[in-house]
Amino acid sequence: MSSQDLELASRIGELVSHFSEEWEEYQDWLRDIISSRLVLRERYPAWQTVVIFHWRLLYFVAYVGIVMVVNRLLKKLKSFLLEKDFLNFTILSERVATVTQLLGIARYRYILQRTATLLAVVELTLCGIAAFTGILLAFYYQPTALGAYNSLTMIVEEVTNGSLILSLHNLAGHSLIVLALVQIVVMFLGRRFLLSWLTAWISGICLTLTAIGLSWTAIVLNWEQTSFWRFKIELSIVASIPLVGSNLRDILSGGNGISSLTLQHMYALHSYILAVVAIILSITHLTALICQEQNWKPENKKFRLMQLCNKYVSNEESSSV
Amino acid sequence: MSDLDLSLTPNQEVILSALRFRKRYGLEIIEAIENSGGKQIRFNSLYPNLKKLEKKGFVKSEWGNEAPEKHTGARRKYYQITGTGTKALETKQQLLESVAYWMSEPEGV
Repeated sequence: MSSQDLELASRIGELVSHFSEEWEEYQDWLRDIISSRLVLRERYPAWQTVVIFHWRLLYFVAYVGIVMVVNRLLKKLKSFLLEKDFLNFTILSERVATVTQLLGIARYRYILQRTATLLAVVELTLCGIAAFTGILLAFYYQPTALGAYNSLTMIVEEVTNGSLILSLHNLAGHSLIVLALVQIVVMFLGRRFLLSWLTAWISGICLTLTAIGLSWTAIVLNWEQTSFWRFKIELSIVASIPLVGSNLRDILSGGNGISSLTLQHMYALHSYILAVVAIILSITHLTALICQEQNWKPENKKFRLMQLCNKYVSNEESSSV
Repeated sequence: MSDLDLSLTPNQEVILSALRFRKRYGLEIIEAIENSGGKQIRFNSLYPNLKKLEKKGFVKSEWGNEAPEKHTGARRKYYQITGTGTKALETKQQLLESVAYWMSEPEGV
């Protein structure tokens, strides 16, 4: 092992020591990396010793760097929430009183849980907006090669608030994809291996795929040059899938080339199948997350269907007596 | 939820076992595990696991008396198991015992 390697280690030490908190926490790791050289030398040939030593240094830098970034981000988020009085409000509310008894990690998990539920509510709202505006658009839209472009132009130019409705429809679709992707990250960070979490996780991933599918099937619906050629390229990509590619392309496009039939297929997929699936998935997603939130409530305040039924039955009996 | 979380991953269990009777520093923990023929633990996963154990309150650390390393100025840290850590280890071992002794109820009695 050359002095260059030790020089590298000392530079890393110097760099990390600028961040006192992390240096205090992890300096013994760096020391042990250097101390482990002797053992490595005895066990491995010189070149392998150098590789392992460098790999350990690289891992150390990467790990400490990630810890540093995550710590800073969490601190900023916390101070931001405190500034907005959000945390104080939630702490004071009776609903989360039990959370204050838990450790800091639990609060972090709780914030993630609430964020996930909030995102699920927004996703469902976006699905609702897209569905509602989609129905309004369907009143005037014609899924034919000759009528699609003209009908959309007519919607924008002549129908009252047509431009607003079309923009809302597009905006809701795009936002749904973005939020569904963010939701996957949020749910991953707050993962808890419960049935409710698993349901929300799977439905969230399916919702993301459905949202992407909705966007994909909408490519050709406006029947413009860009969308036509883009769809043509994407169909050829679909056709390149081994074994099923060409059949899948024929099913999607309704035969050779892109025609009125393609437009009708895409319209049916977009409006009747994927839209319905997206709404069902977003409802399932939200319901699962609301069920998961029950875990944060005290035992006597948890929502239980059986308790509700018993209460209803006992009320019925008392009123009949 | 208010119950103390005493769960341990296999790596954490081995690390805690290495600290059961004496305090050790990182490299010494690895040596102890390697030389006793136990479950091997990767060098890079030792320290993140030690920090997790420290956060959970299963181990505590203190600076060693050795002089700082001459190239980096890094100091050595010794880790010691706490009462909670011992309890977590015992709970895990009890669980393994009860799994070993468990028998199914005889049917048709």
